Order: sequence, then C-alpha cells, then structure tokens
Amino acid sequence: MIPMPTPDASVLARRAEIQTALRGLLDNPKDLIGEGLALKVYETDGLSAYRQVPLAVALPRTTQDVARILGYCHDNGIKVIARGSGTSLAGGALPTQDAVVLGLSKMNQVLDIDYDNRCARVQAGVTNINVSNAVDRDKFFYAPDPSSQLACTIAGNVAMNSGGAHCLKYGVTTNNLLGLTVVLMDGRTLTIGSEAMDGDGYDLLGLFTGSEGMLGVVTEVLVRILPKPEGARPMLVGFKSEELAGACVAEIIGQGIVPVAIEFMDKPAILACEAFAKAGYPTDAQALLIIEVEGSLLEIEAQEARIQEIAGHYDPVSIKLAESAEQAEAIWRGRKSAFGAMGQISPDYLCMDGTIPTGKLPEVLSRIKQVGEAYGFQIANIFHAGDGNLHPLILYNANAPGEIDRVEAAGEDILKVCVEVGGCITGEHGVGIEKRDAMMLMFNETDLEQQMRIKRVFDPLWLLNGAKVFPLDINPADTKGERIAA
Amino acid sequence: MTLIADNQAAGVLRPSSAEELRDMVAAATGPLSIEGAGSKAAWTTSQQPSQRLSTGQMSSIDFFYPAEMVVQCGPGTRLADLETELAAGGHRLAFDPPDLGPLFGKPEGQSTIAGVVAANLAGSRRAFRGGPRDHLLGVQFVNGMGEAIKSGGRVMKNVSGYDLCKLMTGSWGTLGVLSQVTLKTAPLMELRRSLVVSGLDEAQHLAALIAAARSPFDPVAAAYLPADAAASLGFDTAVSLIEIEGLAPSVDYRSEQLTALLRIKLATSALSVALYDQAESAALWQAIKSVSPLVGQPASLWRLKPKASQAADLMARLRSRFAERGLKVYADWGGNLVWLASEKAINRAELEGLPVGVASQVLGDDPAPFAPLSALQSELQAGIKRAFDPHGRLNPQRLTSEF
Repeated sequence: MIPMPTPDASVLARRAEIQTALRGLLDNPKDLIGEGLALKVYETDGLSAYRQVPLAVALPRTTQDVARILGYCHDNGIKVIARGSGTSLAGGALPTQDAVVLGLSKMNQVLDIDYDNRCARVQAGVTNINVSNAVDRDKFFYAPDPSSQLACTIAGNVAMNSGGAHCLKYGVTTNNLLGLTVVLMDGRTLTIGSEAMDGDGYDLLGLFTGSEGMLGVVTEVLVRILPKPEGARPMLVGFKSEELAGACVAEIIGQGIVPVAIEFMDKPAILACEAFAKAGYPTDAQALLIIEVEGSLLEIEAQEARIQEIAGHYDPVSIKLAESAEQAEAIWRGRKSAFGAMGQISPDYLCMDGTIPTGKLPEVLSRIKQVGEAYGFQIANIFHAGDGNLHPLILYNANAPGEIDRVEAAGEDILKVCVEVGGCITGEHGVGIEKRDAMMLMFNETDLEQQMRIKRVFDPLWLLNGAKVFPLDINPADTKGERIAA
Repeated sequence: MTLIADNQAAGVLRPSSAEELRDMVAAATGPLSIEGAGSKAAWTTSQQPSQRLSTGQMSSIDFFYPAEMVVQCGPGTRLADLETELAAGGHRLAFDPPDLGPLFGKPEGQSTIAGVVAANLAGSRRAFRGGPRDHLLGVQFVNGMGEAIKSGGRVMKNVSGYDLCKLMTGSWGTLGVLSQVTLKTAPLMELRRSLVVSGLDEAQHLAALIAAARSPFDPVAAAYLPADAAASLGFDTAVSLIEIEGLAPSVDYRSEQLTALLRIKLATSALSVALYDQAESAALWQAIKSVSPLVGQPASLWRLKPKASQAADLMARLRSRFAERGLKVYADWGGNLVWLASEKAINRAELEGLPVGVASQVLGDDPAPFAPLSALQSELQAGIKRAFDPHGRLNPQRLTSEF
C-alpha cells in the first residue's frame, strides 16, 4: 500500500473554525461541504483503493472565489487539493485529511467561442466532451479525447496533460492549449498565453500543463478548437502474432501514412472486449489493430487501400472495414469500454500507463507476460500503438488478502521494463501518488530537486497537492517522516 | 580547472561532450555567453562581458528511427545536416524551422538545432503543425550550477514529472545549456501543393487564410504577401498562399474543394488560383519562413503575433501610422504572424495601441527586444531563473534586463 504523510493535528483541530471561515468566503453557503456522505464522495478518485476524507470541500463558481479561498488557506497554512471530476487513475486528486478540496465542478461554462481564431475560452470545470459538444454544430471539435472524456474536466486534463486515442495526429493537451487563467496558492491571479502563439519569456503554459495541480489552480482555459474532418472511419485488422501487428504499424508510419489513431489489443483484451461490446472483433486473432483514417470518402478510401496493401504483407487473419456508421461506432465502443469489459471478467484491475518505443512492443509484451506469470495475474494489454502508450490491465481481487501489495509490485516491475527499453513510467495518466516512487526509475535526486525548486517558486509553503509526484523520501510534504496508510 | 588548448581557441569554450560541458559550467566563476553557431547573436546578446561557451562542436545524430518518428542529436548539430539526414529516411521536422542566419548577415546553414530550440523558432507551419515546443520530446542540459539534468525522453507521450522541455524551449540559454535534444519527426508526404491565390484586395486575402484554416481541408501553412513582398518571390501581384499535403488523390480533392470554397466565401470573379507542386511549393515556403522577402538592411524588423482575425486591420494601421518609414510587411502562420520591416527605425513605444499581440524586435536598436511581461509574470520568471541558475551565470540580460 502507498503511504501518505501524517495529517497535521493542529489543522485537524481547527476543522470547525476553518469550515466557518470558508463558508463565509463563498456567495452561497451550500457551496461548502463539511460533513456526511456529501463529504465522503470526495475521499477518493479513480484510484479507488485509496481513501482520505478531506477537511472540507469548497465548490467555487468564479476565479474570484478561488482566489479568496486560496488566499485564506495560504494565510492559515492549510493544504489544498484542486479537483476536476476526480477521474485520475493515479490518485492525482486523492485528498489528505488536513486538506481542503477545491472542486471545480460548478465552473462549467463555455465562455466564448471564436471560430476565426479557432479557439474557445472555457471555465476549467467544463467536461472534455462538452467543449467538443459546444462547437459540434459548427463542425469543430476539441482534439484530445481521453477515454474518460464524458466525465473528466479540462482542468484535470491540463493538470495531467491528458492524451487519448487520437493524439497520434492531433497531439496531447499541451499541444492544444493557447492560454490559462491560474490562481496561485497565495491568491494572486495569473494570466498566461493568448490567441497569439508563443509569447516571449518562459513558456509557463507548457510548464503548468502536466504539473498535476501543484503550481496553481487553473480556472479558465483558452483551448484550440479544430474544424472536424469531413468523415472518419475505423478498420479492424487481426494478426496471427503480436510481432506481426507491431511490424505492420511500423510500416504504415514508415510509408508516410499517419492515421488519426492506431489502437492495439492483445488476445485477452480482444476476448474481453468482444464478449462485452459485441463489436465484431476477430476472436481467432492473437493481436488486433483498430486503424482510423479521416477525410472525405474519397480520401478515406485512398488511405484504406494503402493500409490494406501494407497489412497484406503481414499475413493478416482478417481485415474488416467499417461499412456503416453503426459498425464504426461498435468498433470504438469495444475499445472505449475496455476497462468496463475487464470489470466483467475480474473483480478489480490495475491499469498501468507506461510508454515504450514502438519497436520494442513484442519484447515488452513477452516480458509483461512473464511478470504476470511470476505473480500469478492475468494481464490484458491495450496499446496506443502509433505513439507507444501501453496500458497493461492487471486483473486481481482487492478483497483477497495481500493481493493489492502483490499487484502493485507487479505493476512496478512492468514500469521497470518500460524504462529499461527506453520508455517512461506514465504516458497520460500522470504520477499522482501511484507512481511517486517509480519516479526514481527515471530520474535521479538532482533531476527531481530541479523540479522541486520550480514548485517552490509557485508554492513556497508547499501547500498545493504537495504529497504527489515526488517520492516522500525527498518530498517536503513529508517533513516529519511519519506516514499513514492511505 | 585545466582545459585542453583546442577547447579555448579564440577565447571560446568549446566542450566536445556533455561531461566536459558540465565541468566547464561548474568551474565558471563569472557570466557565460551561451551560443551554438552564433547565427542569431545579433537578435539579442548578453549585455555583460562574458566568457563565450559554444556547444557547436557537440554535433552528432545519436539515433533516428523513422518508424518511431524520433531523432536524438547533440545540441551543435547543424539544422541543415539534421534535415538532410531526416530527408534521407523520408522524414522532416513537422514545425519546419527556419534558418534565420542570413537575416543577420551570416551564411546559410550555420544554425544549430539547440539554437532553434532555445529561440523556439517555428517555420510557416506553426499555426497548423505546432512549433519546437510541441515537438521536443526530451532534453538534457546543464543548469547554472553545473548540474546535469534530464527531462522527458524519447517516446511520444510522457507525463512523468514537470515538463522542463517547455521551459528550455524559448529560454535563450538562460536556464540551462542544452547537451542533448530528442525531437519528434514526421514522414514526408507523397505530394505537397501550394494554392497561390491572386486577384483579391488585402482584406480578402487575409479572409482567405481564415477561410482555409476554418475548413476541413487541413492546410499546413497559409501566408499573405502584399505586392512588394510578393515581387521577391517572382509574383507580379499580391498573393496569398495555402499549402496542403498528403496522398495525391487527397491533395487533388482538397485543392479543388479549397478553390471552390474561396470562390464562394470571397464572391469575386477576379479570384484566380495557380498550383505549385513539390519542389516549387517547397521553394516558396523556404523563402517565406526565412523572411527572404524582407532580407536587406532594414533599420527595424519586428515579429508581431496578432490574432489572425486582426491581421488585416493591423497591416492597414501599420501602413498609415508609419507611412514615412519605408515599410514592408507580410503575414504568415495563417495571419498569426506579421513581419514588419522598415527603412527608418520603429521602436516599441510607437507600436502602442495597435493590435500587435506579442511584439518581438528581431533587428533594430530598441534595447528590449522581447515583449514586456506583467509584474506577476516577471516575478515568477525571475523565480524560475533562480531555480535553474541562482548565480545568474547563463546568458545574463539576454532575455530581459531584469536577469
């Protein structure tokens, strides 16, 4: 189990006083949650094995609300954890008992849409899908599309630099932002970026994106929106081996074709998803690629013809083009419901998020299989094959004694493999608490000290989401070295 | 500290490895002026007497894997050499960086990859394919305390820790000296084609750029050249240029669709479109990204970054405000970048009140080449500087007079 720093007893003792003060800072007293089930909702996030009931939850409606709350907490030495929808799979939004959760869910307005300049200004609590929905009627969209896009907020996407299935062509969150409004821990409001790309001075927009809510609280986001392609269509290609599927991906990209998405599934993932979604996946294949191309019908057909020709070099078991919108939808439903499908065949699963050089896929899959066998877990693999982001899903039972510790150990072994072959420990989920210690697989203390000095520029008292990202052994959030089980 | 004589030629420290670089920075007792080939030294330079340190000898392509769209190289690798190597493998840098050396009176082909990253120099594809910041996957650098630091890696998606690649990009060597960069590459497309549009007035040309950017036809670059700038590319009238690329049938389809779209949107029978394919298209953009239409001896050269929707208004107001200064302007980045050259100097204060967005002086005598920041931003930027370089060793006053 992953430990957390011991809560500050002096802050816990002031709970009632702090709640009263915060209530006074909000226009509507109901926007402060101080007890009961309503508070317990905020005890965990997508990493639900870990739970800590916070001191209070404030639900601001404006940037000014956020500034008042942060200013108060700063002056009173109270820790703060900003939270979008709490979908983090890495424990990025896990509170601590001595912290106030700043929930952005009421800041859910699309403020301005500017098609000529291809951007939209939104409040940070808008869900990812609602940005695209707001511009859909005018045939625009917001490109990053994490699997949790129905629920996750833009604020959370900025904090974690979220990706998605379509980032092979469109990039991740950091490549699709133009500006931010941020409130610093001391309550001061900072505006970063604008419709003008590449301001002078240091790239604070790039620094904030992916900083896991540790440098400031994002309240407004200026996002890039893009015209939708005329159409898009996925195809399924089944292979006799993972090696053949991997080699096919390499040749597609090597031939100068960059599809909008290339998703890979191994046999256990194919079987689970097909049983769940009935998407028509080839259950006789050892590996499956979902390849999506876009453009006009003519352009789609031209690309599909080239991809089929290339796939033909790798002895495919099956090639299936989506022949209707329903089939296309079913193909993606199968992929996007992969996590749900795992829930059908196992009580629990741990979703890993390493990235590897794409050429190392066969080697890595074989080593992951060995890890699974060594620990006695079944592992299914889902992979954003174009960009190397691998999601091994380790199936386990949280109620079986000791299994959480074993599954976490297996997960760390997989991350070691990813780093050994030249990859990284997290491609899009973030470090949070889950991979805090695994940071030492990639970085030495000098590297991490450099990062922590940046944190101190923005939050010298280390109050904002401090128990994340940096291993507790070197993390100022853990000054006393006393820890509790989260 | 002892240094081999070669490394001190002409008083310039020239490390040949990351370790040597680290030792040299660690041993420094005063300010260092960091350079690659020095091709952009005339843009902005250290204001204090400094020991010069060049990473120009750290030139190597460590690996290039086209199927993984990644290249890793030493900081001193010449941009021209890197592009040749990538092209041999059927790839390129998607952000199409310019070599601005000739703009500063330097020979072509000197510019290094670290210089491109440190200055965050994107070419004409910035608005549609991103800039260096978007394609830098990993860095190694030496901070002002002589510590070797790494961030990012060689894979496309990586959120492990804070993104220091973004801070290094555009920091002009003030936070660290790059010792290695890893970049995303992009495959060369089967066909690239420019639509060269003429027969429009200036507002219509800039509206054409916006119409293309708003369309589903995926332009990779869009620029507008008034008649005087267009003349340097061999056109006898003002033109706007829109580039698309991809598989041949797709390019054919999209160039037809874009032409039809512009006819509808601009509703003028005077509109005419000429097509330039492959090398002809490439040559046009080579000139546009390198600011060739304005190369000469301008007293001032400004890089303005307005909203695309305000570019037409900006260009008109620049002409009326500076009618007596010998002005030449053109727009790139789909209207998000306006280059402004003048025979008589224009200083920053004179741009006041115009919708310039971010204004950076590239040539001229204004003492502050870069756009001023808010008080809070300045405070935070100074804090970041201290977090990397507490003694102020690296490129003092090159980015701002404050540090």
